[in-house]
Amino acid sequence: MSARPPIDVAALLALKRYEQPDPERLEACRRAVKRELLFVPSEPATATGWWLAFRLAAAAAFVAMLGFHWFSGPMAPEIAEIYQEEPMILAAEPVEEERLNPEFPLELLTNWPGRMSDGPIRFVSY
Amino acid sequence: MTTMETHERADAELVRLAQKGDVNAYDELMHRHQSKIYGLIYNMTGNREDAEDLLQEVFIKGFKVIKRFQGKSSFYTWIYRIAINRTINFVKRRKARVMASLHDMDQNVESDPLYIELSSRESPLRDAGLAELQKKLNEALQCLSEKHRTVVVLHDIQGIPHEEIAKMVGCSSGTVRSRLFYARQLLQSQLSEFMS
Repeated sequence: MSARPPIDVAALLALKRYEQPDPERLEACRRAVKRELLFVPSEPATATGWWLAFRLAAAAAFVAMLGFHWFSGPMAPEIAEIYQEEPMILAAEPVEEERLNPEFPLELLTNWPGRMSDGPIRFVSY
Repeated sequence: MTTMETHERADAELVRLAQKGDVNAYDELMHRHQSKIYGLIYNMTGNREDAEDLLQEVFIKGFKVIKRFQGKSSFYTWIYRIAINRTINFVKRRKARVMASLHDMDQNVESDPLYIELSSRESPLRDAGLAELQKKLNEALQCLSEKHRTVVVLHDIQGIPHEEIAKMVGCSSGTVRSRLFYARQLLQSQLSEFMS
């Protein structure tokens, strides 16, 4: 008696092709998906990429703005010194009288509130 | 032009429409491919209710991201890839719960030469019949790891060529062949009683 050849596993698994789903249930799945899709917008082509890039750019701009504000706010001491000197020079320059409005109260120039106590005048308004 | 090429071209046209938000075009794509995708999920999960839920999830996900589909592969390969990933994730999460709910076998199986041979042998199948064979095959499949089960289902049950499977699962066709070889060896030991 000759031994039977072993059955090929792949051929045995191919028998599973005879398991057939219920077409009505599959159709119900398709209808359910279609219903759902009417309320589900598809995502834009590169939504994630562009949105991320936009957010990174916005964040970088915000940081740059904060940085500018921060560094331009409090003045470094050595720069502040220069600014301290500059108004003294301005104050020492003679005021061109012909440009003065005769109505202008001159005492205001010498008794400018804060001129002596708070430092030099930065500009003079005619 | 072959039927396959015509089909793929028609798919490409439907994909273009679906990318513009045409739900009917996408519905037609689903109609074309749902049976195969369902077969994959069903054989991976061994449960028809899970397969139906996952089928819906796969096609909804596909529509959400279809604008990212660039047409480098066929729609069929692309949607298979989504289905494989989602099913593997699902099976990993579900591990503790294995609850088979199987379809009836088509009665044509009884005229399949292999089935005739098996049922004429001195084997458990001759006494137990189709239901037992189906149960055994599903149990054996569920014993495989997800990646081995994937290649077995795609190749031996769905008849997809190695190169196509390689694109779907993102590995070389050599890897597909070696996984298939290893999986068949494991199945052989699982199904030894039917082989005797």
